[in-house]
Amino acid sequence: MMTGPYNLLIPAGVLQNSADVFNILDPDSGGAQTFSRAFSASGTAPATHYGARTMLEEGTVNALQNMTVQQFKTYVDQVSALRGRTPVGSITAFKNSLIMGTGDFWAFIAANGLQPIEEATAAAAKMQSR
Amino acid sequence: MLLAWAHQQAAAFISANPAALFDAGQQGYWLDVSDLTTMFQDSAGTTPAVVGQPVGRINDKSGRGNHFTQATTAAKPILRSDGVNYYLEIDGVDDILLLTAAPLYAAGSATIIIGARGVAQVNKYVFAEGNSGDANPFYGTPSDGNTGTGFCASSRNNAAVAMLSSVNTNSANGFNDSNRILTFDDSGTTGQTRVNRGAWTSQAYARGATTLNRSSVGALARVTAGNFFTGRFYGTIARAVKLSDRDLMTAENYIASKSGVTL
Repeated sequence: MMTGPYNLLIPAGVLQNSADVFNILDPDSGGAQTFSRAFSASGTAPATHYGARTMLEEGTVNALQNMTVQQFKTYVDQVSALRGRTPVGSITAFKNSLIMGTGDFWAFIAANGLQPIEEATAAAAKMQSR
Repeated sequence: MLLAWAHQQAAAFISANPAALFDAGQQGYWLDVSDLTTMFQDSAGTTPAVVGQPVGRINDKSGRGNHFTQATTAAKPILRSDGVNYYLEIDGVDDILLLTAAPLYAAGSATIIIGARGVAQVNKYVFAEGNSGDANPFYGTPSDGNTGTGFCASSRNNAAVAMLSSVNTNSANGFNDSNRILTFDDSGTTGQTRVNRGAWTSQAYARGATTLNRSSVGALARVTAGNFFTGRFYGTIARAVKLSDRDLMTAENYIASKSGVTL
């Protein structure tokens, strides 16, 4: 059973580590793509942060919110073995960097001083509608 | 007034079962959120969908096998119920359901009927066809590019030249936080949209080389996904090759019945 949705935000520098962790934590096969939305203070590239709005398993919520880095590593390793997913080496960068919240996603992003980086697709679509 | 009455009576006697629209092997898809036997939490289709949980797969009822999936939980919409009908809650952040095929534009003409609900939002795509390796071509149904309340058709060819504009094909009151039946009808030379079987808004256009290979619900899927829609999705009937007036009425009646809309 999943709960949420939760708002997640990570610095761009830990994107790969976060993808490796969520490749394990997501019960479905596409967890590595969890952090798909790009953000920066100005709303222009390059991205300084990546975010997601997602439902989470209850065990994962507890692990993210309440566990120490060491406890979280143990949890991730156990889930990895259970699901037959590629183990991740260190989870420290991800665990220490994750910002987690609930409620309105865009208010959460604004509260962290960020704006979405509009995709080229969005910009192009707006241009063609003028 | 007599004509309107006759039209209303005729509509009442037209079948609300859209299965016949695909009986001869016509391409397209029929997604019905109220049919929980077609919905799954996982992209592989092993765990049945339940209210309040993410949806990773909705099977196509047309018989063409055009099932829409999503393997990343963050990008899955959530199944909800309004007390009468079921719908997918699409978050406008990262939710998108995908099909690795684009059967509509390539056929030369098409009709798409969508049951949806959303507040005003500028250039957000309820449905689209795109290209996984190219940011230029697309064919889809966004909210309009100005106020965001209108329901539009919008498309570009491989050279990024607009064919249908989201300003000129703009039916009013598509997104006003009410359940809506959104219809896009494309003859191949004219694209037209209407809301709740109201007046058509039409735009003539010249088709161009437009190479499409994927379809999406909830956003515009090209090289990367973008233009994420925020709101409810009740279902869709989309068929390659434009529907006849009678078949269009059948499809609209069906989607309306699944969306809590009286036409």
